[in-house]
Amino acid sequence: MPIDNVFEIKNLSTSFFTRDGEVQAVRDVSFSLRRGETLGIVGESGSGKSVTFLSALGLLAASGKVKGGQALFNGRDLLASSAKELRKVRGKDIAMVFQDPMSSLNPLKTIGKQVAEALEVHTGLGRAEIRRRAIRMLEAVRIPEAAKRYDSFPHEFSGGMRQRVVIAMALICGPSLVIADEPTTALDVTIQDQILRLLRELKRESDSSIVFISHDLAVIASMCERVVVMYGGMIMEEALIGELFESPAHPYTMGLLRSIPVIDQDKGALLEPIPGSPPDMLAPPPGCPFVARCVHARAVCAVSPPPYREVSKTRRSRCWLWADDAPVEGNVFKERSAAYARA
Amino acid sequence: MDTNGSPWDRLEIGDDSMETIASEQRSFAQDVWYRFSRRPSALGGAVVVVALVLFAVLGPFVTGHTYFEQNLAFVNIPPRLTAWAIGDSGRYAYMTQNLKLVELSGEGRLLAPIPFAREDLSRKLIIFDYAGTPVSIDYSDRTAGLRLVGPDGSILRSRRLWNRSYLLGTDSLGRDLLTRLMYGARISLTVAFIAAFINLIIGILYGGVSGYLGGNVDNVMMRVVDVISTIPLTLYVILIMVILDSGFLSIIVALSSVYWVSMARVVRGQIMALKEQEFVLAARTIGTSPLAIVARHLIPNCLGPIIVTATMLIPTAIFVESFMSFIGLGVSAPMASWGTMCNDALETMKSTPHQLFAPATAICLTMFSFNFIGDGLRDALDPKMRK
Amino acid sequence: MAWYVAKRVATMFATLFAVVLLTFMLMHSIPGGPFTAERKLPDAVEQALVKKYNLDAPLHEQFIDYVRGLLVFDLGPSFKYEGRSVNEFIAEGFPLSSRLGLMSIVFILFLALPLGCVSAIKSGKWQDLLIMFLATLGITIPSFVIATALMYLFSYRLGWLPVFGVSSVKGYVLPVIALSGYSLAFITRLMRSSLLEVMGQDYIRTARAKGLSETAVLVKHAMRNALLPVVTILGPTLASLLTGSFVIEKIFALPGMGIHFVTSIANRDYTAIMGITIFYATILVAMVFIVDIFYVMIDPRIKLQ
Ligand SMILES: Nc1ncnc2c1ncn2[C@@H]1O[C@H](COP(=O)(O)OP(=O)(O)O)[C@@H](O)[C@H]1O
Ligand code: SF4
Ligand SMILES: [Mg+2]
Repeated sequence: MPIDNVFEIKNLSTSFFTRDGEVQAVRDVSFSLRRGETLGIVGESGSGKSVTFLSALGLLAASGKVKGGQALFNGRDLLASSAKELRKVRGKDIAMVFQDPMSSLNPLKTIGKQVAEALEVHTGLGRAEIRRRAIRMLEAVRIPEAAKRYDSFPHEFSGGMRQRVVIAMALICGPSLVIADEPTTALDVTIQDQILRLLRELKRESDSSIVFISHDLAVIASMCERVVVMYGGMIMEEALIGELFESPAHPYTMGLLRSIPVIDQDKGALLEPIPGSPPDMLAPPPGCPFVARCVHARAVCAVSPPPYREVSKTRRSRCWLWADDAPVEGNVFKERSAAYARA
Repeated sequence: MDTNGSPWDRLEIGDDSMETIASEQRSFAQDVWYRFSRRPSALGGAVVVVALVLFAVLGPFVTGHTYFEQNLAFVNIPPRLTAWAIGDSGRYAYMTQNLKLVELSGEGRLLAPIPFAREDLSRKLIIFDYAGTPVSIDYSDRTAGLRLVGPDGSILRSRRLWNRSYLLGTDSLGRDLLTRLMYGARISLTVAFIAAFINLIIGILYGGVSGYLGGNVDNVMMRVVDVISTIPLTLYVILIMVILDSGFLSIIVALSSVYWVSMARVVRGQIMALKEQEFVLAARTIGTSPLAIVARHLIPNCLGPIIVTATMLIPTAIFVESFMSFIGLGVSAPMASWGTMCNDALETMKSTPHQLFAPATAICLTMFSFNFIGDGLRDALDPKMRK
Repeated sequence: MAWYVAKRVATMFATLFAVVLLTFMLMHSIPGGPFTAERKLPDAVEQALVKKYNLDAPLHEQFIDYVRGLLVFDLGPSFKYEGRSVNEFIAEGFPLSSRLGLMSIVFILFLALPLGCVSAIKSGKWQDLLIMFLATLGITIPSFVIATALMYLFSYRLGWLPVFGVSSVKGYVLPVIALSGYSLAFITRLMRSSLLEVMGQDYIRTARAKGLSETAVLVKHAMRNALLPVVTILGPTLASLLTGSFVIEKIFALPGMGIHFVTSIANRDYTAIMGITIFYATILVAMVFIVDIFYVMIDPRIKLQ
């Protein structure tokens, strides 16, 4: 059965060339997204989540260069497209929702104009029709009195309302792929819930595919079917959301899981953030990027990069402990499978 | 790492991460110096400033002239001379702008005026007596200009020589321009450094108090700064100079009384931003006195912008000082600052441009250097502030 | 908006009053000066002075008198020239000076904004390096040096432009360039850094993500935002043109206000110095007011405050 991939990243590597040297932000990242699917991308801040997608859409800062790989959208490589072709895709077929609603809206333009702008660029519709559709879109994201608020400026809106505007801006052309890059991170918790609810509703109403980026596994869990875990510019693990929570196949994921609050946990249970900090991408470690913080690390981890192994049909993991010759004894993953096998 | 061990030996956490941390253990000062010295313009500026200070302090001892000594025989002599060969002695004559002759040594030293004998109006000659031989300025040919002719009426050989007696030439009173330039440097730099220092102190105190106390005091104090800076600061300096009368001290007082406002703003902004930070709150909760907090925590932490602003105050002071001198409000004669030298030279710019270009170049060079140093410091002290 | 304007007008007058008071006090504090008691002048002159300037009245009454004069735009008589008023000086000099200033502003904006944009867009390339090099020259070289260098080169050596006076349009060329130099360089640098900063903002990325072309991003999203800091600097620019005019008018022997001011200083014509200072302050304060209102009109964020 041919898999119907709407979007696929293959061996993407991106670096920033700064005056301190080369920042290897994304290193050999590959994953794919099926039509209608919602894929989560999770990882600590700085792990290369945003850069992966900005690379695909040609939105990198001037110092950023894609060093290799492909970004296939409906089979077409965006990285090989001309700037003009790419512009036709951006905003129309692929839309992005950015993290900070405060800064991602132009303070000097009315929100109506900003929502309508993509329609002006990508369609030949008349002014009145564009305005009508923009208002309808604002209503769809539950902006009260949308027609009246059309001519308001961003500073007249609260953070949550602004993020709704940003979402409206992204959805106005009915894109087949929406990339939501930490759309709720900058908001406080109650607003965050409202926006997540809105996104789930919008998702139900449309057949768009969605990439949902967050550093918060709990948020990802409430939105996505499948999840990709990134760290140090690489993919660490890829799994269905359920199995990821049930039996993480990577020490980094285990760390992430320990650091999220679980409602029905014992009152006294402590959150444990992963000790240490992410690697310096100016000089990433030659082996596993997680080695300095990994409680399971072995000598080999510091020397050579772990292989990306298929662990089951639906999941893959980049950890030396899954290697064929890795000893079972003291190996969290193999001991666990062994226990399952015995049971 | 144990090379004989198995690849599956366990690793302790933190084995490798320590290295990267160690490499960042450079002190702040080293860091600043490293970033500063990596900019050629900043380093060049610093070298020029050091050279200027040496020039100002030591220079006058080596030129063999003083800034006030006048030699009316040698007025308006340029640094580069047209020398006419006279006699067989290897001596030359230089024709001054007011049509006098000066004897030159072979290497371009000014020796003595050649005495005037008479003027021959019919042949259009001004005749001088060079040790018995007549040498004349021939002004008969308008298109060819003035020429020096020998006793037989033949045009003398001429060549270009550097002025060895007065390297940069002399001014309209026959004073050595180079020495005056050095004295000018003393005045201009002294004024600039003192004014910048006083402004620094006032600015820090004013801005520090305003920022630290905050609230209404801050409001009032900043309103005052706003009002002061509504009209150009130069205008106040002019008014104050009018009151105090021109002079070295007046210009320092005038400059010091207004330019602190920018410093005050900077300091206040920094203090405001830092005040709410944790280490200050911590100091407050353990009961440290406000003054100690300002002195020990706040000032050191906003040192970067303060140093940069102070560095930038120096070229401002040099500029305003020369500006004042230029409109007739500078130091009084025979003292010279670069500005008064420019002003003095303005009228005769067409005939003696060197008198203007020497001090003008000095001003520009100084302005450049301090600006480059300031930019370099800004960059080095606070990489985030980089444009 | 109305409330804002009212508030600004009030501050404007308060500021002006403070400036008048300050100037008045400064001028009356000159030791041995014309307004103080301990002068050594012949009796006849003394008498005339006292009568004319009402000098035996208490200081506050003199001040009130002076302010009363200001309210009807009367800056009083000249201290040095019998029968002439400060108003006359201004009427003589202001037209030329304002023409010069206006030309300079236009020249600055027409050159600085495009240059700054080019510099920002070509950031790091040779165009940028060249423009920034010239801007550094413009900022560091004092205007009187620029003026004299230009004059020496174009008037004396090349003979292309007149040395003095503004009898023909050509006469304005050098003064305008020399006067504009600093602000031109400053605004070019400001425009560049401002545009660079705006181009790095998230909303620019948002605009690109919508599929706008680079030109559309620049024109529709970046330009207006990048211009905001330039607008705020217009007041100080005017101030620097104004002080610059003192030396420029002197060098090119232009009979403007600057030269009147400098002459008054040389003559110690105290009432003229005071009057012209206050006149300058008024113009500046008024301009800053206009710029502020303009700023509020183009930046919607300020309206509500
Ligand atoms: N414009 C830039 N210049 C230099 N480095 C950058 C730039 N943008 C991102 N990076 C670096 O790339 C890495 C990945 O960043 P990003 O993808 O934004 O992380 P996140 O996973 O939080 O979205 C980080 O190490 C970051 O420092
Ligand atoms: S490869 Fe090694 S260091 Fe990396 S996650 Fe697996 S065990 Fe830890
Ligand atoms: Mg991100």
